[in-house]
Amino acid sequence: MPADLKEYLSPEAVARVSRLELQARQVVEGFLSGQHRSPYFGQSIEFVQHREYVPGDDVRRIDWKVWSKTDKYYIKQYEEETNLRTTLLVDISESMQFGSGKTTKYDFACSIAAALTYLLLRQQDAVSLLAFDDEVRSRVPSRSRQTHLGAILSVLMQESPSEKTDMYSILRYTADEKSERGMVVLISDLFAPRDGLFRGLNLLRRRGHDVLVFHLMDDEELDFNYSGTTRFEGLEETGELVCDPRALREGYLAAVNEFLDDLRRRCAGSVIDYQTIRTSEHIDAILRHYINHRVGLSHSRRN
Amino acid sequence: MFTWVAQHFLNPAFFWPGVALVSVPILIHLINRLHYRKVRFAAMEFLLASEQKNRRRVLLEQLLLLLLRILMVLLLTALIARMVLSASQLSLFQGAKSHHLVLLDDSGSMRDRVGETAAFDEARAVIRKLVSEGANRPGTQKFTLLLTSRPDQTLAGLSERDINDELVDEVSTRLEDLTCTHQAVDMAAALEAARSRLVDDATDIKHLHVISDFRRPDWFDNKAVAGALTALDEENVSVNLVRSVGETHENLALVDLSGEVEVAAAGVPVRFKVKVANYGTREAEGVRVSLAVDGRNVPRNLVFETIDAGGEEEREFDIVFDTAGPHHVQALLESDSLEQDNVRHLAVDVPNDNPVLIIDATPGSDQGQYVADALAADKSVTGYAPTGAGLDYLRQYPLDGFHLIYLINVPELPADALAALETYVAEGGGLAWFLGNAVRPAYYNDKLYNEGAGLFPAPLANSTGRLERDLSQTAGPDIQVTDHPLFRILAGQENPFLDLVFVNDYFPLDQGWLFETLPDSTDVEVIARLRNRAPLILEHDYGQGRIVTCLTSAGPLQDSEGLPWNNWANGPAAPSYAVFQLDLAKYIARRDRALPRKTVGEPITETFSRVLFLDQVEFVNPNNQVTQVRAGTLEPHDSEDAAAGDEVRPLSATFRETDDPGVYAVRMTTQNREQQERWIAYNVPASESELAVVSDDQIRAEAGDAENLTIQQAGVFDWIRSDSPGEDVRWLLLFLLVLVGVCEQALAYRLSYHPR
Repeated sequence: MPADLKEYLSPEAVARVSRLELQARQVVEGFLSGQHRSPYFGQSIEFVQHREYVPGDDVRRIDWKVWSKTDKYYIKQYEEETNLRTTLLVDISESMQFGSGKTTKYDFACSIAAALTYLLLRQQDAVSLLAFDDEVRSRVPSRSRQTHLGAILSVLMQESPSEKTDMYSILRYTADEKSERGMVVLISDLFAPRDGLFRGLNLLRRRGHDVLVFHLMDDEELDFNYSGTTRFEGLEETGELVCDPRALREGYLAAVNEFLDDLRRRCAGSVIDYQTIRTSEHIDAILRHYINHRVGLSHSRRN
Repeated sequence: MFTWVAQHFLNPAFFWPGVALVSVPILIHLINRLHYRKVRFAAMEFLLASEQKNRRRVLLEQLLLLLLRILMVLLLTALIARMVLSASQLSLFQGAKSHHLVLLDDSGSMRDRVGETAAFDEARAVIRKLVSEGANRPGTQKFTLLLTSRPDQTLAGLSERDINDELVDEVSTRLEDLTCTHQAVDMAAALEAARSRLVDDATDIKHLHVISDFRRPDWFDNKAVAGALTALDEENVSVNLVRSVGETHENLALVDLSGEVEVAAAGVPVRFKVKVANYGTREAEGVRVSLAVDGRNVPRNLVFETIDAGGEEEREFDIVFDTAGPHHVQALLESDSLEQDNVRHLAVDVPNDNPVLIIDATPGSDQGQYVADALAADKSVTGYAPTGAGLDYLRQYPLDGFHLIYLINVPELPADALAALETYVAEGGGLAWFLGNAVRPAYYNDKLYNEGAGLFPAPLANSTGRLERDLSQTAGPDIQVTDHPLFRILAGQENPFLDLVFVNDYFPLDQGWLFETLPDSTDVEVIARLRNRAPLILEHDYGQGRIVTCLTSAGPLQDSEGLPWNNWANGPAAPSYAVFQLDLAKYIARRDRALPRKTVGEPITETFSRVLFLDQVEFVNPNNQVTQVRAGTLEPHDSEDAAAGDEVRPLSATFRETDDPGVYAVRMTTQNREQQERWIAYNVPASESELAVVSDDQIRAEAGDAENLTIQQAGVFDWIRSDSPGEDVRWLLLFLLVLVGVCEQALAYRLSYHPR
């Protein structure tokens, strides 16, 4: 992590960072204000069960009310003993650089990461970040301080996407490194070998992590509204093709939909929270959707 | 290819630019492929998968689209260039610059009546329509008119003329003046002449319109015509055969009127023969032929009860000419579709009598008298005027005036007499030999036979022969005759006269000649033999003349034993002797004096000596129109003639306007201002009477695989006057264009993306 941000960040980048931060703040605060009364909010540290006291347990956790009725020592166990640990995995491979509009998928990934970070930090949750392509390019350790947002944003800013994507190794690395259970948020276009991806995701699941996948897709990637003879040059060395895109549209959409369906199906099978996100969508709507969905999911899981 | 374009498009100039336009969609397609924008794209995996899957379909769709667009351009081109399906649909006067050569059949058969008009009038109407239609597009069409009767001559002012309104008027007038000939024409020569004219022509499209009645004799199985059609096809001339007659008409024709006019004499019946042919397809019944002499009807008709379809019938009849001089005999049929062959003309120059010279050298005998009696027992009945004379007559008098000469029992001839006789026969005179006891075989064999070059047909044996007669048994008649005109009356089972003739003595022929030369001889014919197969009567030609030789005596000449040589003249068969002599006289009488019979179209050429006649010659045609011709000096044919002085070079006058059938007269004036008139009968050729029309299939079979051949039916003028040619195609093209356009749009829509 660079010591001096200004040395690495151009004024534009700084502007973007601040814009991102501002954006994240606007999004999240707007969101919070809208969700303030939600009975479910902040219940990540909630009571789970009673357990008989064994020597070595923290005596502060003994439920004295139970002792007074049963004359036995029980301690209260909670869902999470510490703050929620969230790991953001941001794909910075070359394919993320694609964007038909003003924003690339990478920009959008950064926005989501920033917003989530802001949101989580506001909840005092710890957030760590891992930027990767075919290997981990940079990482920000888990912190829950408010200032941690800056650190994360600066990392995102300086990473310029390149190379190919190797999901499995990244996910395995994450699983190995994060021994404590937490939430893993993968923000990627998932243009990588799917088997490796799911092996990694399942590994994370088995280690007890909540896994969220934000699958970023550009409008053009989903709708493929190109026309006229076009030379498509593949990012990440996937070849090139000169064609009339109209002629191939149907087949392309079929292939994409099959891809998305496959992802959804396999994610649902592994109880992975998966969401396809259009880069043209509003980020707050995504977050709202995400939070609603998340809460519902967590709630259902604990029952 | 260029010709094809010119023949299938009304505006052929638009064709090639239109074809060039086909490249436009192809170019657009290619340019589209070359000009593309670049997109860096992430989801290549799916794109490549789609491409892999759809490659073939996309290629096919693209090709189909390209094809449809090219088709649209082509259809548009075809519409603008105004395509027609076949060259025959192309109106003659649209399309490229072209030359119309009209070959008008003016042969006699074109006088065939079709309804109210003649086939020739129909043909004229076709030409008028053709020209007036062509005048709608002045400046692009040329017109030439040829007649089949004179294909090598063009009609003045109607050769390679631009078709315009002026020509329409001119053609109209000129056609009125054209008349159909009575002649037969050589169709192949006419086609060839037309071809040679068109070959030299530089025009793009050459049309040959043959307007004819297409009779079988001219067109069926005629190799020359087939060759001419093929040659035309090879020259890329579009041959348009226009029928002026739709169907075969029934037609009866007088195809022959002839007679034994060489022995005609005033007051003597002359035998004539008339032949009627039925060219129709049905049997003709009760055909009447009426006769006229010098324009006055003879009060009798010849009736043919039936004449088979395609068959011919002959009738003989006698006519007695009361007066000497030229007479005009006509035979007339009842009217039918072709008028000209219903009448036939014959000119007969009837003398008072026919002089015959009888040279009898039998000492103290009257052999010649038997002959003279047989020929002219009554001159008014037979018409012969025999002159009996000795051998000296041959030397002293001209023989030219005699119709025939008898030489009876002549031992030998003085050299000058022989020369005079040879000249006489060579020029056409008739000669009859009768032998006898005075004959000297050595002289005959040497001078008269002369190795086949003389007046006598065969060498004689050295001595006379005797036909032995065994009365105890019948060995058949002495004389056995062949089927020969001479024995036309005498031969046959029902006529016993010839069986009664006895021949005792005769001159046998030289055995060597008989067995070696005769079998191969084509000149000498044995027309009667004796019982022992020895030749008795022989016939041969010498120059123009005809010679009949009888190897026995003319009369009942006594031999050394007192037996008559034969008993024909005075025995029980004597009546047949006169018949035989009269037939013999008719058979050998000179023919060159009979008035000529010619076929219409043949010129009359009169050659005569300027010593005897003035050079002004008058020709009178059947309509009594007199044409005066000044005779010119006949150009010498070779140096020998040229060497002769102008004084003896003969004059010659030629008259060619002999198209009308009938009797023409040639009047010449002698130096003594006396007029001499000679008649010539002209008749139509029998070949033109056959009206059978050849079928389309037969013509096509004839022409082989000629591609540019079209045949137009009689009375159909659509091929000239197609107001909007290719209209059906136009609508079809338009419909196709719309259809292709819709298809193209549908396909293009399908192949492109449309946001919903």
